[in-house]
Amino acid sequence: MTLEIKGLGRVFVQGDKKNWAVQDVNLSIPQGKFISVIGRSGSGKSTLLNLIAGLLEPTVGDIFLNGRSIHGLSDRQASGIRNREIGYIMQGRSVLNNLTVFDNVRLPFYFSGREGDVTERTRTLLEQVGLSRYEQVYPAKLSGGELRRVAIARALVNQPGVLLADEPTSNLDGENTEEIMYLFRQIADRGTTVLMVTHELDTLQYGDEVYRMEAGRLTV
Amino acid sequence: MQNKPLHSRRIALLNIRHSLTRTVGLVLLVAALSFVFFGGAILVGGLRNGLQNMKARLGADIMIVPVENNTDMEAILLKGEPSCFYFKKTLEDKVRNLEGVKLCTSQFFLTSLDAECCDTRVQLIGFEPETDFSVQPWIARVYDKELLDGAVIIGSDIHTKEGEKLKLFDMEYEIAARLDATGTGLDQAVYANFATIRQMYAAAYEKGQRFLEEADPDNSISAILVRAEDGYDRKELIRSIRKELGGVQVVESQNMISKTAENMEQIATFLYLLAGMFVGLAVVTLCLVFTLTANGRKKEFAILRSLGATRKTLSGILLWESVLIGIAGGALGALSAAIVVFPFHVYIGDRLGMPYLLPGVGAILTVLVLDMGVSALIAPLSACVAAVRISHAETYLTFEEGS
Ligand SMILES: Nc1ncnc2c1ncn2[C@@H]1O[C@H](COP(=O)(O)OP(=O)(O)O)[C@@H](O)[C@H]1O
Ligand SMILES: [Mg+2]
Repeated sequence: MTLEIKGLGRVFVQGDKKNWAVQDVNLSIPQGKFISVIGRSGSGKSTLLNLIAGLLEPTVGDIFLNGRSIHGLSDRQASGIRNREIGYIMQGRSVLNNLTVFDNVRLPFYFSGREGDVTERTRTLLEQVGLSRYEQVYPAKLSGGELRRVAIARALVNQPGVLLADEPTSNLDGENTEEIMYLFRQIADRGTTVLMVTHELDTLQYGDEVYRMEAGRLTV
Repeated sequence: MQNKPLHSRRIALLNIRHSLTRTVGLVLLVAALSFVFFGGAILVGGLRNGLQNMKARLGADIMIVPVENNTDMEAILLKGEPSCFYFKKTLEDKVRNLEGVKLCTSQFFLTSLDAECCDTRVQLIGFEPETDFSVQPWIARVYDKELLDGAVIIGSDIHTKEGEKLKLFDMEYEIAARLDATGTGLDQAVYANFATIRQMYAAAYEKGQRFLEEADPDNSISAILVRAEDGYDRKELIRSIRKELGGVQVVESQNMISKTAENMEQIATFLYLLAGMFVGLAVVTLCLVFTLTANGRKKEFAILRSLGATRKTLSGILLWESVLIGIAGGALGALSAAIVVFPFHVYIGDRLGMPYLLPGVGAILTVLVLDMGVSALIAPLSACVAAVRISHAETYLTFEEGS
């Protein structure tokens, strides 16, 4: 799936102060490419991903998935695209504590409205991220690296065309970081478009291209 | 279990199961509401039922008892406290001959020290078969023959085994029939004709039981019951009874009933107010708790959104959580109220000092259904504010900035 961003901007108004968290962003990612965006905290990385995921409305500009605009959709339509076409790994700890690892991973399937069962696919994904033995374990028992891998498996359960990852390696050691980057590389090589935002330089070597984000603007 | 589909209801169930402290708190709150609602409704229903039965049972318009025994008469009728008191039998004829008296009969009360059937003392009530108009009509409902000498009819709270005889003062008496419950002290009474009562009295005397006054059943009676001529002024009749007989207390049963009814309405009003207050309090508290906890769960809702849950799905999960909590609380409250109200209904009736008779199964089930409905609805109603808020806010996306 291709991802195209044209003239994208988002302003947050606080009192009479306008804060352009994302400003005039243009980006075009072909299918199966692994793109990294590096930027400081507060530079607008998460806002950019929230806009692409359709969780935030852009102030200006538009986003196209496979050439189709995601602008002006109803909540139902936007949620449907986010559910089926986009795998979103949010910043920080993003697994649900009340659900087992197995249920966390298969949960997005049940938001898709499709009939059926994803037991097999869930098992395969957990095996790929090396968490098979934790199927019935609750997240409270897992380490930081394991939690990230649960979130990755979950983002892939509906076989999305685009994977969005918000600082997927923050607070992880070198070994865990390397494993996750290797996973992303594999995912991209199988045809899923990957957009990762990060503030860690040592993750950049795994991507195909690197952009820099500063005060809401994207530069090469 | 792992293959159960993860729809909103299931997610809600997993959420409330996992957040036990929050869940227990909310369930207990709804349970308290349901307890008051269910228990109160059964109580009021029981009082209404008891009053109705009492009205039906009191065949007499006026009861005459020895002076200062008015409270004892009420004690017998309402609280089931056995007493005996007597005056001369000749008074009965004086009353019978008064103008305005349609029917007149007398009763003789005797209290047993102990009977094998019962833990407590038993009130024995003797009636005169020829003149009685107050006891026999409802004995006739359960027993279609004439009550023979040596046979008794027992109230519903006197417990004996099937086919057993009632043993009193070391003598056995045939049990002809058992009366339906009234919720009054009459349920703990044993009825017999004067001849049988005389027999009992003789036996009691032999056993050495002494009574408050030396009374002999041939010449003494405990109460005179009067039914007035239709349309005759009761106040007038009471005046002439007082003039004719000195040292008696005249009780108008209508008065007693309306006093009881008044007390009952007060209790009912109090319970309704209490229930109303609880509903208000529960709604406010639940509303606050749901809104506050939803604030603390912003991250959780943001994650669900990021996975493709619609706003409607989020509200649905929250509402399901509240419905499940409402049902659990409603059931728990009704169950605890049932545990208190049903096994102790005799005790409750005694403490209330009012005729108290459990409502029928149908009425109880209706109350249960209503109670469960209110409980199951009140929680989601209170969760509405939180549900609308989480489904509209975008601010939940600003959590936990990267380190
Ligand atoms: N929901 C919001 N409301 C107001 N301001 C926001 C909101 N989300 C982000 N911002 C602001 O936008 C800017 C970019 O934030 P963010 O995208 O989280 O940066 P990053 O992910 O790079 O750390 C910051 O100044 C932040 O305070
Ligand atoms: Mg961020």
